[in-house]
Amino acid sequence: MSDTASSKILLREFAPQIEHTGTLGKLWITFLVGVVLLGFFALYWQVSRGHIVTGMRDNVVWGVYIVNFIFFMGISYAGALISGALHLFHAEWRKPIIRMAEFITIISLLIGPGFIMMCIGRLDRLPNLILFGRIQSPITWDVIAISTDIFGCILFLYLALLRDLAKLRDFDELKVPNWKKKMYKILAIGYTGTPEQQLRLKKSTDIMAGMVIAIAIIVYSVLAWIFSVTLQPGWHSTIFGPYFVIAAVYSGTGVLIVAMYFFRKVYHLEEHITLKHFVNVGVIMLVLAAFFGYFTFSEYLTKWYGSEKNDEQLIAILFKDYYSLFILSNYIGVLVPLIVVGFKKLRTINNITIAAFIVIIALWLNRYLIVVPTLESPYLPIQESRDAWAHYSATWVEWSLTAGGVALFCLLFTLASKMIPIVQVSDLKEEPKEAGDIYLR
Amino acid sequence: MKRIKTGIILVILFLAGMMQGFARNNADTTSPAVTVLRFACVSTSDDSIQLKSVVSVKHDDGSTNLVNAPVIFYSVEKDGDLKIGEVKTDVHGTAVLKIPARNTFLRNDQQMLSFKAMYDGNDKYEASEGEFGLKPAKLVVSFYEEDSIRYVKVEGTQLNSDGTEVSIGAVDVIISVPKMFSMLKIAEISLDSTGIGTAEFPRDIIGDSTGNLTVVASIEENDIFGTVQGSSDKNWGLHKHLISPDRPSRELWTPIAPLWMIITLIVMLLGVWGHYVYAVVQLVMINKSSKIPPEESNKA
Repeated sequence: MSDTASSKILLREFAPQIEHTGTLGKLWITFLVGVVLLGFFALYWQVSRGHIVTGMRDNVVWGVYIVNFIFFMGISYAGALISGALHLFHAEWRKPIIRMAEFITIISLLIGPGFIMMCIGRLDRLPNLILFGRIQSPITWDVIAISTDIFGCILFLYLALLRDLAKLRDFDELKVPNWKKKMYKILAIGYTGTPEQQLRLKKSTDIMAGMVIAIAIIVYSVLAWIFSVTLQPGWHSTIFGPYFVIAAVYSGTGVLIVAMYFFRKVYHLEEHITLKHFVNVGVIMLVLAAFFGYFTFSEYLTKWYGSEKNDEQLIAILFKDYYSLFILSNYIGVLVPLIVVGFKKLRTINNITIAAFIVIIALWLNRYLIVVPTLESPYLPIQESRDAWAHYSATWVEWSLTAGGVALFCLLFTLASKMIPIVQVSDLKEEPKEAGDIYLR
Repeated sequence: MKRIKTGIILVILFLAGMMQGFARNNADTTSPAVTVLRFACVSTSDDSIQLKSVVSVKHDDGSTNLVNAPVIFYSVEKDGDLKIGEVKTDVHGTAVLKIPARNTFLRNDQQMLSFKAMYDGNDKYEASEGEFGLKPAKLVVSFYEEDSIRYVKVEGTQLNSDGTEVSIGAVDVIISVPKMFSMLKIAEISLDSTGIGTAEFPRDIIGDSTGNLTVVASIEENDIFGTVQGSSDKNWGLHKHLISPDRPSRELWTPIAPLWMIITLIVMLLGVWGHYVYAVVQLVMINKSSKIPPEESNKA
C-alpha cells in the first residue's frame, strides 16, 4: 500500500472528528464557554473593584492565581517530554499520543501566564516591565524565558503539524468549510513531501525537539528561582529548580494520561491508543512519582532536622492547618501512582487514569502548599494586621477565574481537535513506504 | 466494573478530603461581639497630648481591629465627664485626638488630668471604654560634643495647672532611633534631680543619605506621666549608600547587572534563538522549494 493510500485510509477514519460536532460535543462546548464567561465576569469584577475582592492581602500577596500559573506551566512539560524526548529517542509507541502532548504544551503555555496578569494590581504599569526591566530581576528572567518557550513550542508544534496539514490540504473527500481548506493550504506552505522538503523538515524537527526540552528545563528552573532566590522559609532552597522540573513533568504526564483517556473514548481511538500506551506513560509517571517523592522528602527532612526557627514554624503550619492537604498532596499523590502502575494486576486503563487524575489534583495542591503557608509564616513577623489578613482564603472570584482557566484549557483543546486530527496521521502509517521517505529510516 | 467503582470511591474520598482541607471556620455569630478598647495618653514635645485608643473585636482565634467605630473622648472631672471630641477609628482600629498640654481641664487632688475614651457599640458590637490619668510632661532632646565624644542630653519637665514648668527627676528615659520596623534602643538613662540626663551617642548608627537621623527620648507608661516623648534631628549618623560604586551587584537599583549575568543571558538567548531562526529558515526553504517543479526539486 502506498503512503498516499495509507494516509487516505487514516484520514477517512479521522475526518469525522473535524467535519462534524455531535449534540454532546456542542453541549460540552456550550458548557465550557459558559464557565469561561463566568471567569470573564469574575475578571471584570476584580478589575472594577480591585484586588480587595480576592483573598490576597498585604501579607499573603500570592494565592491560587500564582498556583494556577505554576500548574499550567508545569503541565506544558508534557509536550516537552513526550514529543521532544521521545522524538529524540525514536520511541515508536509515542506516535498516537504525540499530538495531544503538543496541544497540552501550547494551550497550557498560553493560559498559564494569563494568571500572572491577574496577580498584578496595576496592569497599566505592565509596560514598565519592558521599558524599565532589569536583567537582575528573576521576574525579567521569567518573562524572557516564557516568551522564548512559547515561541519555540509553537514552532515545534507547527513543524510537527506540517505533514498533516499538507495531507488535509490534498484530501479531496474532506467535507469542511472553505475557510478551513484555505487555512490548511496556507499553513501547509506548499509542502509536498519531496526528499529535500523531508530532509529540511526532519533537521528542523530534530533540532527543535532538543531545544524544546532545554528551554522547558530553563523556564521551569527560572520559575523555581523566583521562589528560591528569595529569603523566605520553605522557598530558599537549592533543590527547588530540579524539584519544580520533576513536579512539572509529573503533572504534565498526569494530564496527558487523562487527555488520552477522554479522546480515546470520545473519538473512538481504541485501535490506536491501547493499554500499552497507558502503561508506558504510566511507567514514566511512576518513575516521576518516585523522584517527586524523593525530592519532597529531602526538602522537608532537611528543614525539619535543621530546626531553624522559621522552618519549624512552617512545618508546624503544614502539619497543623494544612494537614489533610499535605497528606493528599505529598503522600497519596505519590503512593497511588506507585501502587497502581507498580503492580501489574492493577495496570488497567481506568486505574491508571484515576491515578493520573489524583496526580493532577495532588500536584496542584503541592504548589498551593509551596506558595500560601510560606507567605503566612514570613521571617519578618506580621505586625499590626488583622488576623484575617495574615491568612489566605481564596474567594469566589479566584475560584471562578480558576474554573475559567481550566474550562478555557478544555475548550481550546476541544477546538484544536476540531481543526486537526488529534492523532498524527503522517506518523501512523505502518506499511513500507517509498524508498525516499526519510521518516522510515 | 468493580475497579471503576473502587476508583470512583477513591476519587470521591480524595476530593472530600481536599474540600475538608480548604474548609475554614466561617461560623457566624448572632450575639454582639465583645470589643476591647485600649486607651493611652502620650505627651509629646510640641506641647500637646495625644489621646490614643485602639478598638478591637475579640474572636476565638484572636482579635480584629474595628474600623470606622466612633470613639468619644471625655475629660473626667469632679462635676461629671466633659466631652472633648469624637473620632472614628482608622483601618488599624485607632482613633487619635490631639489636645494642647496647656489646657483648662480640671485636675484631681494629685494634680493629674484624667481622660476617658468610650465606644458606644451597636447591634453587632458591644460597648467598651478605657480611662487614663497623667500629669502633662515634656522631654527636650539636645546634643553636644565634648572631647570628641558625642552626647545626647534629655531634659524633662512637668507642666503645672498654673502654666509653670517644674523639672522631673528620678524617672527612667529610653533613648532610641527609629528604624524601618522598630525603635533601635541606644541607651537607657535616669533623669537626675534637676531633670537632666545624658548618654553617649554611638558613632555607628546609619542615618539617611546625608547622615541625618532622629533621636527619640521617651518615658514609657509611667504611673504619673504616662507616656512622654520628645525628639530631635541630628546629622550624626553614617551616610547610607544605596549603591556601592565599587561593587556591581544583583540589586535591582544598580545601574548595570553583573557582567557574568549579562554574558550568560546573551549566550543562552543567542543559542536558543539561533536555533529558532535556523528552523524558520528551513520552513522558508520548504516553501520556496514548493515553487520549483518536482523534477528539479528531486534532482536537488
